[in-house]
Amino acid sequence: MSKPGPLGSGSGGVGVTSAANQAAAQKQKALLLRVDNDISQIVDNFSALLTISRVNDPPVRNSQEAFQMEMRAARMVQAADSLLKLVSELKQTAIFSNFTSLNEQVESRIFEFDQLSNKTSYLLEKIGEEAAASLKELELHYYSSMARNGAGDEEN
Amino acid sequence: MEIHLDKLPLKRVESTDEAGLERFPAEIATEEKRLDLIRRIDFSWVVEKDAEKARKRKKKSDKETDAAPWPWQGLTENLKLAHQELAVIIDLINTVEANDAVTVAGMTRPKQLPNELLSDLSVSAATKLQKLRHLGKYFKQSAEALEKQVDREARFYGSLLRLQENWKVKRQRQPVPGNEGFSFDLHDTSSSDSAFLTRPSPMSMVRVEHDPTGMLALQSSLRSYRRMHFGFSPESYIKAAQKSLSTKSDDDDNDDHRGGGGIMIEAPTAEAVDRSARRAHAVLREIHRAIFEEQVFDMINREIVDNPNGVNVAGMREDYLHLKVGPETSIYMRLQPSEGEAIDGADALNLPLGSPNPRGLEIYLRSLLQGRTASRGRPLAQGVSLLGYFCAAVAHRVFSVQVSSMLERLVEGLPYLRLQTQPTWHSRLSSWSLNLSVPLSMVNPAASDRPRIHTTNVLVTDELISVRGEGIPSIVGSAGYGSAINCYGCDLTDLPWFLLQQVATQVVSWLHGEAARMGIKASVDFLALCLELGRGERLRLVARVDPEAELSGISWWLVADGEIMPAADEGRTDAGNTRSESLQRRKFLGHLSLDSLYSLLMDLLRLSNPPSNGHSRS
Repeated sequence: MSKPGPLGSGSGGVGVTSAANQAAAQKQKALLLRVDNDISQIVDNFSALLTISRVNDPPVRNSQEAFQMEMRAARMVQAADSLLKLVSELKQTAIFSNFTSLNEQVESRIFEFDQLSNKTSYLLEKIGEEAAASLKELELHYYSSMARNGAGDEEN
Repeated sequence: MEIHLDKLPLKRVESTDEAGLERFPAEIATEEKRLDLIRRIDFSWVVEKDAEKARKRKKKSDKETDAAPWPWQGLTENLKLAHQELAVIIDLINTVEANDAVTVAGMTRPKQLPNELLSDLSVSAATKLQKLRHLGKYFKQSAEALEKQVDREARFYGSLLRLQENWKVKRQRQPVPGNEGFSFDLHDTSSSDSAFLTRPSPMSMVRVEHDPTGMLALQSSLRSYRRMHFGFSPESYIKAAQKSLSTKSDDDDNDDHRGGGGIMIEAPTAEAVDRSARRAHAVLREIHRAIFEEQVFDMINREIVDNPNGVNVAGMREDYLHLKVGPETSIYMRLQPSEGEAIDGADALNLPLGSPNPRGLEIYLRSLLQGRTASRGRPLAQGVSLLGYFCAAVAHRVFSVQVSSMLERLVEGLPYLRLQTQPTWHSRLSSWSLNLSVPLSMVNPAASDRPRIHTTNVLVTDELISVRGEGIPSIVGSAGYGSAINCYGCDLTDLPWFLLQQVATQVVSWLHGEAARMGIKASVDFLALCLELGRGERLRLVARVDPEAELSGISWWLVADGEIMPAADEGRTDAGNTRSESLQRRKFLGHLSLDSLYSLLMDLLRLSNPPSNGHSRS
């Protein structure tokens, strides 16, 4: 749970100031704290729930325990929801703040598109050459064909 | 009901004796008071009631001696008795408490029997179990809801990350409720061309939303985006718009069917998510294209205003442009709402005859502008605006189509002439070659000093035609083989004349060469081959060029000049000179092929050399 995350490793890039490093570390710490809190809340409330589930002698305490159980269950669900929100925040951070991977992605796309552009240009050249060759061949065939020569003979 | 009124607990004087002393009643002890009160309770009504009930029961049992006894009868009676006793005791307690004479110090619960203990325990356990089951259902529902939320977020963020590979994602500072505030920024900031930099288009920010299934959806309407259309006639737009409207209704149905217009009950599959991401990508691509085309149109308008040289504007509106390219050619550019796919049928919609494909020119215009933005605004040529260059290219294309059709008509009538297109891959340069194949010489087939194919190249640069070939005729005399003279300033009207003369010259030169090989005295005079047959007879084979002729552009005449002609050179004037005593006979030979001409030459050879003398020459 306490291992350094992407923020810690990504902050060691060139040009990042120490203030940014500290801010990133702070944020990472805060997120880990939130995670710990949520998980501990879930665990604690579940333990309390199990304790309350015991059947006691005085029947009059059942109602009290019923309300307690509902409360513990609600808090567990709330903690799970908070964890989900944390995951959403992490995803948003990955989308907007993960500059390393974004830059790598952009560069790889640029490379891909350059390759595609070169390939397309090459393909266009090949198509042009083939079209020219086909045109030449077709013209040759046409002017050698019976249709044209026959028509020419008829005219004569 | 009887009501007893108790005396107030005051010390009252019971009697007064003779001495005047007051006598009070003796104080009763509390226990005695209690007993006294209890004794005062009249239980007789209860006893009477019981007796009454017993009598009735007896009567009833006497009446229903045949009926079967109810199994729970005893239980109900016991419960009723218990209820009565409890009611009595409760009344007693209330009475005692009301009098405040006796206070209930405490009540100890009697020791419960084991079955009572077990029953209490079972009730508690059942209650707990029910509560736990209720909690179980709650957890299950919450788990399902959280799982759905996880799936929704996975779908949404997965699609967003995938689209982020190609598009710029931005987040608003103050997100709208129900929406995380994401949007795609389609404004292109990579171009530093000042002519191309404009304010960000209002279409460039596309908001991201959630659709009912949680997948990524874009807040856009394709109807509001415009595409640029290019054509040679204004009617093509009307027909293109009609066609796009008719196809759009089909596309609408397909989209509703395909895109899940209704509410999806089940979670979408991975394929649906993939399809949704692809569709979003396609929509963004369309919007990006629409923005680019609006920028293109805007830039063209600015070029017209800033640099009007070389561009003739015939009409201009907010979304419409009419330019004149040449005396007879007009091009129309218009921004029309984009509804569905781009229409490729513009070229099939009543194109003017001999016009190039407008779709190709549209693509060329876009590529020019795209190249300009990539080259950071460097001009194509000194002092030439992009629009001027494009208009020149269009003019060249139109002109070259006309030249090409003219060449084809020309070649059609001459079977020994072949047209070969030479692609230049340049927008303002076109080239063709006319190849004249002469038959193999029968006299000396191995003669290799004469080429068998004579080539004439026609090069069109913008709207200038230049011809390069062998033996281009001149007024003074014929030029020999290998001399190439470029002809400048040849226009479309003169080109067929020029080419036909060129071809005729080449044929005449070839015949001249063959005649020389055969040993005939021959000379070339412009388009005529003069053969001296001896005894002063001269024959001339004259080519006549006429591009307007129906069958062929070159026809042949045989002109015989008699021996009484005063001077041999005067006979070359090719005039029907009847004033002199010269005998000039003409015969129209028609449109002859090269083989026929060669045969004619052979016949003339035999004519000039009778069989007794001609064997050595054959």
